[in-house]
Amino acid sequence: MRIVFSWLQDYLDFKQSPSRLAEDLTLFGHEVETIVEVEGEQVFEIEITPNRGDCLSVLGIAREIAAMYGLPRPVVPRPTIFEKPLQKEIRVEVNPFWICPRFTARIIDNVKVTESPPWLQKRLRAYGFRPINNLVDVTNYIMVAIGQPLHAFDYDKIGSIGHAKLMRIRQSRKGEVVVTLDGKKRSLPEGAIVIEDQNRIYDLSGIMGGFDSAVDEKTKTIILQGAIFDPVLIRKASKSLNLTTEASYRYERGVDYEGTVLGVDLATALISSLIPQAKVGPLLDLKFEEPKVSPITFSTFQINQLLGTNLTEKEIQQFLKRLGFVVKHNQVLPPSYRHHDIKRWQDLAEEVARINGYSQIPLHQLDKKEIKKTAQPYFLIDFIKDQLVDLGYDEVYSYSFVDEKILKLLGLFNDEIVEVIHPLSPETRYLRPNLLSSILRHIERNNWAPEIKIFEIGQCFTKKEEFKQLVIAQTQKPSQQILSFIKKLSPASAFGFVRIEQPVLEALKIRKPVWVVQIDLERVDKSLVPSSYRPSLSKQKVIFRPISKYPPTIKDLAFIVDKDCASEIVAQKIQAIDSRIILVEVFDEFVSERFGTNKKNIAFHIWMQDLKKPMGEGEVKVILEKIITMVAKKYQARLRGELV
Amino acid sequence: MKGTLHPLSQFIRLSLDYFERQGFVVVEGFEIETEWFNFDALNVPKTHPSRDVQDTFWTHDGRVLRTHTTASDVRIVLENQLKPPFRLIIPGRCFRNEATDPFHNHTFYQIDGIAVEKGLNMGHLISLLKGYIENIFGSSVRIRVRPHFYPFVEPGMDMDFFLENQGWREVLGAGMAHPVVLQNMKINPNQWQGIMWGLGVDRLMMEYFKIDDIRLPYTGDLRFIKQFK
Repeated sequence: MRIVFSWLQDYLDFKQSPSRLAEDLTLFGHEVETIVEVEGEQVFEIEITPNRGDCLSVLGIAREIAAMYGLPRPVVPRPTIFEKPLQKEIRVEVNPFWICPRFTARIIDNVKVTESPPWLQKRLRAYGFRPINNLVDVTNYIMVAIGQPLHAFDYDKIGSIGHAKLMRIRQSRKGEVVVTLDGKKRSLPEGAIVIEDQNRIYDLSGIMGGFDSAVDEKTKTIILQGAIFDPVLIRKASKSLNLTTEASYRYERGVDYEGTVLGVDLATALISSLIPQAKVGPLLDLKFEEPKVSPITFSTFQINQLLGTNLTEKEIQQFLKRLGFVVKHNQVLPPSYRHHDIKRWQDLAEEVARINGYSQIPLHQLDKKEIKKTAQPYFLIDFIKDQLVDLGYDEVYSYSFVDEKILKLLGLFNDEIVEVIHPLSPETRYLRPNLLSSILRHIERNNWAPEIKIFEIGQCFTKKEEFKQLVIAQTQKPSQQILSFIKKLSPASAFGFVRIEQPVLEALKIRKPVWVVQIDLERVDKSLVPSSYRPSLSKQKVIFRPISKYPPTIKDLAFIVDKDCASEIVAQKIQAIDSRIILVEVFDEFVSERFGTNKKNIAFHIWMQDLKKPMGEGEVKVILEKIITMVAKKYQARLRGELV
Repeated sequence: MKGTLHPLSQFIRLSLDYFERQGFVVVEGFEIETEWFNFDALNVPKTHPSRDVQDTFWTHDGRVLRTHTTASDVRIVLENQLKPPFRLIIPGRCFRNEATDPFHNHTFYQIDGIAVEKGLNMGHLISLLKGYIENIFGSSVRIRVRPHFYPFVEPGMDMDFFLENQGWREVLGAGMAHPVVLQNMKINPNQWQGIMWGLGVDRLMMEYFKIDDIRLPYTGDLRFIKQFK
């Protein structure tokens, strides 16, 4: 919600600068996301959490600031209104009462619809409202100021019953129609709150006024309404109609039951000052149902125990009083605007912590005695991962979603697939029934890689169950090592690699043969994990290097070096030669008499990229030559084979 | 030649290692949850705007792709008939029906924690979580806590840490277990206190490894993965 900084000063004297106040409010639980300037005004964009309907106004935020800084609480007095009896009246019927527990209104006669004065228009624009006319602007202005949504009806457009204009407030039946202020004809769900006369529904209460009763330039008389509507009904109707307004936003978060009269009176006073000839009728204030409130009992011990603080009863009482709570010993009555969120002593504890400052909470160490061991099932996954990494496999993560195309290609598109309703993006419509569908996409994406050995462990879904799978995929024939590892995982069941059929590979444009094995973790031997096993933690922290949107160029270099030359060190030295070398992988290393005494062969994949364009052939050649020169010089190495 | 453990796995291990050393036991929940466990059991009524904070994926049979790992808290306690005291740590994948960009994704990991014991307080919670951030990012990192609303805790808070180039950034949400949530776990809130938190793994991991796009870890791109040997 937006708060205009200078508007706050209508209610409160404080000397903090906008940036200081923004930081303090954030630490008080109202995060100021940005400060923008609108026509020279500093405007805060504040995230008001959904429990704090009372903060959706300038006054509401001013109250919080006062409590935070320990300033006198801002109180807005009821303005003096000069009421005159008018020969006009309204008849209000509410059924059932709870949908509209309070209805406050006043007839104002002899109004003249014009533009609002510049100061008012400016504040509305700073908040984000488009000025409409003086009457509508006043209702919006007072709503933003004190949080009470108001509405002005054109008196003459409403049908009468006897001498009085009829305002029958009830819940809609499904399919009933109202034309709202924006000119849209809306078919109503069941249970929206509406107002009707004997002929038609003319108001969608708490959400948007009706077109048929709207103020226009010919309006002479208005009914100014400030009501309380049931928050749940407003929320349901607003959701169902997909229509959220400034009014519905406030109503569904809870409006102050005791704020209706002030709202109507402030708007009346402002209208009177803008239209001096206006005649103000008597206030109508109908309480159909009063909120039940009972004091909350707290104990100093409980509050301190929950917060870990050591506050005195007196301090707690004082903190609560700063928020306008009425405190008698350990009995607390929150002000009417906090009835929606303060319900139990734990809520009081949070208020105490806020006023005292979260930074003042003393730190306490958890009791060390409680240490227990993690259950084996989770370690099993870590164990399998560590083993596969040791065997040279890279771990991948894929989304739990799969596309329809691959499901159809693999013959998996059937009734068992779990489908999401209204996904924002078509890619998130189907959930994967196995990991094969995910991992093939990864092979496809890495088509340029010289060889691929990857695995994933993740959840799979059918309509009946959710289960964990391991998938291993590779572009070379599985080695004896991996085959025996798989055998070890599940000696009883015959999990084995399958070679993906050519038509599938072709459809995915995969250019290498692919072997895949899928294993349900349920069927893995849990006793595999040695009791001493701990998941390995990475020793050194890697700083990520951005990858190019252009495919990498990958070249292989093999050298004959001394037997005791560490290949990983050579790889690091090669990588340091040029920033365009993103990875240097050792892929082959063996000793042979063929190369001379105490000599060995090491071979590298050199991955190169340019962040801004594909690598040019010439550039690649220059880098490779630099590598060859460096390795030859530093390690007395000789290139094996020719550079191509 | 060794392969690579995915950076998300590496970061989750680092995190779990810290909490295990504090006596927490790792457990896992389901990624598809019932509406009750994901929302209602956590004091997030259907009729309240707090339900709107999370854009939810719904399945045709009325279940949800869990929007937070907190969805597993009540289920794990009930299904294992856990009685306090206990300390649980729940890592896992969560989902939100959102548009994606370099800082937002529809899929992400969270680590949820809950401990229920006699005499736990906000000071324990803050100390534990501050220790976590310092353990991962070093003891010089600046940390602050501020009030925040989550329906399943009272009092509630957010923890931020300070990054040179970005200012204060939210790391996690936490609080004292709400009495309604404890009741839903069949625990007497007058006798036991609970601390709870949920932290977003992906953003922290990005900061840890200086990764510039939250979606990269899910692409399977080997130029990305192989860097984390």
